[in-house]
Amino acid sequence: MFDSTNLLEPASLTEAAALMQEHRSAGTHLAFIGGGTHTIGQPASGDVLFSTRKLNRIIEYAPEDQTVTVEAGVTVAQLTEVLASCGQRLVLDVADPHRSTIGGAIASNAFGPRRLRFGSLKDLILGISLVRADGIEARAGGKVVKNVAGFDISKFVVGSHGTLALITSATLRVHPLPDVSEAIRVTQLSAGQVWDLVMAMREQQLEPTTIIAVGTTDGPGDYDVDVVFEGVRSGADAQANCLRNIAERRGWSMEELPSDRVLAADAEALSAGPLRVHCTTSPCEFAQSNERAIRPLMHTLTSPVVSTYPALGIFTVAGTPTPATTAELANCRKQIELRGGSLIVEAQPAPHDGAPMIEPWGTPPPSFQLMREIKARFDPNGRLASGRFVGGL
Amino acid sequence: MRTQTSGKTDLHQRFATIVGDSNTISAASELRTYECDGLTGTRVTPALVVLPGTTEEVSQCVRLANELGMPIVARGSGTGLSGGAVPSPESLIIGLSRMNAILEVDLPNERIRVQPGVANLDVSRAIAPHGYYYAPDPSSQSVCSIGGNVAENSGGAHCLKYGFTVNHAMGATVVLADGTVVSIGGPLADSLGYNLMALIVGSEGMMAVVTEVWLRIIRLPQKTRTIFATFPSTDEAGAAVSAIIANGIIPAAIEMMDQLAIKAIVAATGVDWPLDVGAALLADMDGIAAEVDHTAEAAIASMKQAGAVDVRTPRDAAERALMWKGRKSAFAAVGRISPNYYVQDGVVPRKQIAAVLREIARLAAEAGLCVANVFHAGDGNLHPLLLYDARVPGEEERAEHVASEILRVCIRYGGSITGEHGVGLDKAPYMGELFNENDLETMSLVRCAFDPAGRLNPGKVFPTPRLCGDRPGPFVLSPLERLDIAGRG
Ligand SMILES: Cc1cc2nc3c(=O)[nH]c(=O)nc-3n(C[C@H](O)[C@H](O)[C@H](O)COP(=O)(O)OP(=O)(O)OC[C@H]3O[C@@H](n4cnc5c(N)ncnc54)[C@H](O)[C@@H]3O)c2cc1C
Repeated sequence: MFDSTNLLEPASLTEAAALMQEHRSAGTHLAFIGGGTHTIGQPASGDVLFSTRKLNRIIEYAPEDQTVTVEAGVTVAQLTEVLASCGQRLVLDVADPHRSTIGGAIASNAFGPRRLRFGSLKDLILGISLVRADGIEARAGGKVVKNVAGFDISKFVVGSHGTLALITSATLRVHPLPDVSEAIRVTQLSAGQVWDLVMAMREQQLEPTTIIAVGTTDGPGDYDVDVVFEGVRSGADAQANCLRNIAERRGWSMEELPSDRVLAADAEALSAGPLRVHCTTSPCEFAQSNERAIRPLMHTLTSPVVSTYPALGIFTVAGTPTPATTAELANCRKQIELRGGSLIVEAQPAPHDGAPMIEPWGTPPPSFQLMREIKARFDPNGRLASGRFVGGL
Repeated sequence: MRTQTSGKTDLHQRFATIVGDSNTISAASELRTYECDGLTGTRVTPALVVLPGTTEEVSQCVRLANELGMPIVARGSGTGLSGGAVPSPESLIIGLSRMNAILEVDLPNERIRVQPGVANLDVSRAIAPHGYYYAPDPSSQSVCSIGGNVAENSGGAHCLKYGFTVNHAMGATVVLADGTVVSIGGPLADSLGYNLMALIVGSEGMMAVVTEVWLRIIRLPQKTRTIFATFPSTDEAGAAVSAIIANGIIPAAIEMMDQLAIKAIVAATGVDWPLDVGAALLADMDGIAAEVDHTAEAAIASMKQAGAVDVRTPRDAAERALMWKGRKSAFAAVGRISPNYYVQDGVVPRKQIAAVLREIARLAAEAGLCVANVFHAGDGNLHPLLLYDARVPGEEERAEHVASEILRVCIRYGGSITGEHGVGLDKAPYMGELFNENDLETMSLVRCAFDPAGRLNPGKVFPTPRLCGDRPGPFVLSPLERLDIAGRG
């Protein structure tokens, strides 16, 4: 019927809704796409791509209320620039801000290291507009920072990967830009020492906005930990000094670095190869997860990198797979799931010789039946990104 | 219902076999406790109340209620202010007050697992010795339950910086409408699949009975500085709030009280606040010690510039605690100066606070009523308390009329009808003014996925009763049929 070279690219919200109506009648299977930076799983061959790139208007920005309402296709870079003109920012770190769209970030629950202090889009989203599979336009939440009128559909669609509805616009909470941002790199720590560092900062009641540990396969002591403190000068200085004391007392070496280098290093790590795996684990089991699941996987990759947010229990491994990778990935997933975590294969090279793709999501959660019920109510004919989400939703 | 020799009804006996006789309440005099929540004007006696002790007992009660065709209303401490826990006459109330254990304190992962009947403040009390606390702090925190907080997505003074219940509840064990026990979300940063926790939080008892919750806990800040400032009127106080936030400062809390609220609080608690001022702000700055010193000074400067009459900081922890006690007992204090009051919970964009307060004052004056304002100014979450005397014919109706006009003002200014108290019964009629039919139908889609037969807390949130269609299969064009179920409660 349609093939994926067919691209829908509405230039206004009205046109987007009209297209959704039209394709509902035609029964078209749709795959929504923003910047295409975080699409997990392959669109089915009959899917028509529905791009939000031209829905790129900033609808309303209220600096005094620290809220902004944007169309789904606005890029993170575009929004960052507008907000910066009023001394504000959306605390959303993405690897490629010029391509990543807000709608895509919401759909994929994109986040970066500053989630530690500011939360994820689940915390920052205040309201949403959708077009459902049946072409109906609906709205939830609102434009104020506090609101419990009705069920929280806005937060609910964060991370739904385009399987529930087309996101057309969203209202987000923004934050003031900090006066200063100071970064310190503590080098060559083992996984156990990374966790010690997290606990030592917590003990001192420090409030870093970022803790990232980046490692390669070079055995113990290969984690470099970047810590960022933001805020007013006196506060950031005091925290940086405290961190220096913590590290000196333990004989760890340090480097100062510009804080923008920290995010760049994280982004680089995430694109170290065609395979990218995202693991969520129990934070305090950092060393065990590292040893049992993460390192064995890295050993099967060429030029692997792991970037972790230790205080959040998140590991992202990237690299180029070898023939041993598929089996080790299954083992890694088993280790992580056994301890209540999850492993998502976010990106993988196209398999050759007709080999199957690796299932991206792993074992569906205990509440999967409820998720199916919801999917069936929102998208009864399974037309939206069908089969691409957890458990084949 | 046929009465048995024991004097207890069949209904009583059947549920008593699940939860025990002493945890089954059917005597008219005892049922009265459960006929309303904090919205005391609306009272309905339920058919029966059970107080289960375990998730399994909750599940069995839900199954039996289904068999008997009884609607189910979960209830925590009954402090809700929107009539969320008000039953219909044929309802079973499942009271969670006996399930009040803290199950697991996990400091290294900064989380805690609790039963729903635990009082909000008891969570912070349990972890305070370790230097931790639970951030959402409703003024009712010494009594309201975590289960109620989850159902209402409750807020509190310190939610401006730290977020509401939804930002802190990570996972839950719930009993679904058919009695199935399922775990939602989980204790880790993310869990796979749809973000169902966002639906459970704020579900107002309409999606599941929550029987366990994982909460995020927070390390106590290095330092907290409290500032109390008085102003000639709410105009200057509102301007001060805007100025502080425009300055890039996010206070942990910033609360406003107008003259009548101050008078009521002084009379009830003995704080030594001046009575001849038009408004006061109570703010906390917290975080890194060096930063707090800086931001507190900057906030004080903004307050003075906006026209503060007097700015003071508490001498010691005791005085600070007294100031906050004053703020948190405001509703009770107003209750002492007026036979009745009606509290609203509208939200407006922060910059509109002063304008909306003037509109509220005008509406109240036109109706010949007094209004006290005590609210979360940083969030723009207003709590006008309309004072009235129910014994005076017509006053209650006038108060209700003004209350509904206030919500309309909030909607007109781009805000919301409720910031933290929930829609419940009380604000359900206004949902249709804030949202259109498609918006409401979309919300109803999720409810239908959880509870297709509408057994849990029917009659709340939606302005008109709704039935779910069958779970739609292929080629079903209209996923929902709206049938008239008036009378189901
Ligand atoms: C003086 C006073 C001050 C207040 N201040 C604040 C404030 O600052 N901020 C704020 O947000 N609220 C405030 N409230 C409102 C109220 O305290 C909150 O809404 C609170 O969360 C209700 O908790 P509860 O245990 O009393 O719930 P209840 O009133 O018993 O129930 C509330 C709703 O939750 C549902 N429910 C309860 N338990 C469960 C469960 N286990 N599973 C599923 N559903 C459940 C009920 O069905 C009902 O719909 C205040 C109330 C009073 C009286």
